[in-house]
Amino acid sequence: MGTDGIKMKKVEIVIESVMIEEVISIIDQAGVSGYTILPSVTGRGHRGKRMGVGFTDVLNNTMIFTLTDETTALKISNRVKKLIQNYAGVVII
Amino acid sequence: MDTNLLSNLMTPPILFFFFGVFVRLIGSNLEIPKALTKFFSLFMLMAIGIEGGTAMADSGLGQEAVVVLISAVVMSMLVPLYSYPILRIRLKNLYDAAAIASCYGSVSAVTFIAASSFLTKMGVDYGGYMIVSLVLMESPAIVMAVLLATTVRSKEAHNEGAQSEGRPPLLPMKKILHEAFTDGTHLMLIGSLVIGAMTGMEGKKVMEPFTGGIFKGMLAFFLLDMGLSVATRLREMKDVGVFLVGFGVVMPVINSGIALGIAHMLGFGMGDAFLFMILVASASYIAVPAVVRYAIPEANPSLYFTMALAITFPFNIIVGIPLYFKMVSAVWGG
Repeated sequence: MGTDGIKMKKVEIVIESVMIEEVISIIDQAGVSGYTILPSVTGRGHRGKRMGVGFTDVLNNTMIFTLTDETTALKISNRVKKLIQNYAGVVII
Repeated sequence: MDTNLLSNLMTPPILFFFFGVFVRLIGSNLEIPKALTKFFSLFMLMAIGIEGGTAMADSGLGQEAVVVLISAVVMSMLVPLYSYPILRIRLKNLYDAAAIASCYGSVSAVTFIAASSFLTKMGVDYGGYMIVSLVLMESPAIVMAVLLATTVRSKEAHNEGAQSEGRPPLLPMKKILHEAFTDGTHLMLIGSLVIGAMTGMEGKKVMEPFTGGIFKGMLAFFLLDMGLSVATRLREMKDVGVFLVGFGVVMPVINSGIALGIAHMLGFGMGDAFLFMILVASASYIAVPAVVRYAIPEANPSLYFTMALAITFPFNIIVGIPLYFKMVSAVWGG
C-alpha cells in the first residue's frame, strides 16, 4: 500500500545490461519517476547461465525494480516483454 | 619456431593469461572482481592512448602515416564485406554472419598491446600513428554489420509480408550509431590519444609511472582475467561448431596475408606492416560485441563473443604474433 492509500505493485525486471537504458526509458514513458538498479546480477535462465564478464557488458545482467499502480505496472511489463523477445531477461509483477 | 621469437613472446603478462586458463580449467575459485577488470581495461586503453598521442605529437602526421590510416579504415570495412559471404556458406542465421563479420573487421586492443610489446623486444620500431589506426578501425566494421543486418531484415520482411508485424521492435539507426560512436571504451582510447597529442613528451613524463612503470603489472592482471574468461567460454565451444572454430583460426591468417600484401605494395615500414597485420587479423570482443548486441539482437552473442575471445584472441597471441612476424621478416628481409 502506498502512502496515499493506493495499492502498489512492485515491477522487477532483469535484463541484459546493454539494454538497461531502453528499460529506463519505458519506465520514464510510463510516468514512473523512481526506480532502483542493481547493476550486476548473475544467475541462470532460459538462455543458460549468465555469470557475467568484467570487461564487457555483453553477458552481464542488470536488475531494475520500481513501485507503481497496477495499470502502470502492466503497461511497463507488456513493453518490456516485447523487448525481451530478443534479449535475455525476465519481468515479474 | 625460433627460440628467440618464443622467449620474446613468453613474457609474464602472457604467461598470466595461460595461468588464468589453467586455474579455471582445474575448477579453482580464483576470481578478479568485475569492477576491477573493467578498471584494468580502461587503464590499458588510457595508457596506450597516451603513448600513441605523445608519439604522434613528437613525430607529427606525415604522408606515410596518412597512407597507413587510410589503409586501416579501408580494411576494417573490407574484412566484414568478404567475411560475410564466407560465413553465409554454413550459417543459417544471417544475423550471426553479420555480427561475426563485424567483430573480425574490428580490432583487439590487447592483441595490439601484446604485439607492440613483442615488437619492442625484437628491437623493431613502429609509428605512434599505429595507435590511431587502432582507434579508426574500431567503428567502421560496426556500421558495415548494421548495414548487412538491415539488408537481411528487409529481405526477410519482403519474404514474410504481413507476418513481420509480430516481430519485436528494433532500435532506430540513429540510436545505434550513437551507441557505436559513444561506446565508453572507444571514447576512452580517443580521449587519451588526444590528451597525449596535446601534452606531448611533457605529458608523457607526467604520466610515466602510470603508463610505463606499472603498465606491465596491470596488463598481467588484465590478461589473467582474460584467461579465466577464455576458459569459461571454452565450454561454449560445442555451440560454436567446427566451421566457426575453423573460421576463427583461418580467417586471421588470411586477413594478415592480405594486410601484408597491402603493406608491401604501399611501402610501409616493417614495424608498421607487422602491427597493421595484427590489427587486420584481430577480432573485437569488447567494443563491437557490446554495440552489436544492441544493434543486431537477432544474432547469438555466444557465437561472436566466444569466437573473438576464446578462439581468435588466444590464436593470435600464441601462433599469430610469431607467425605474422616471420611472414613480415621474410618479405622485409629483417
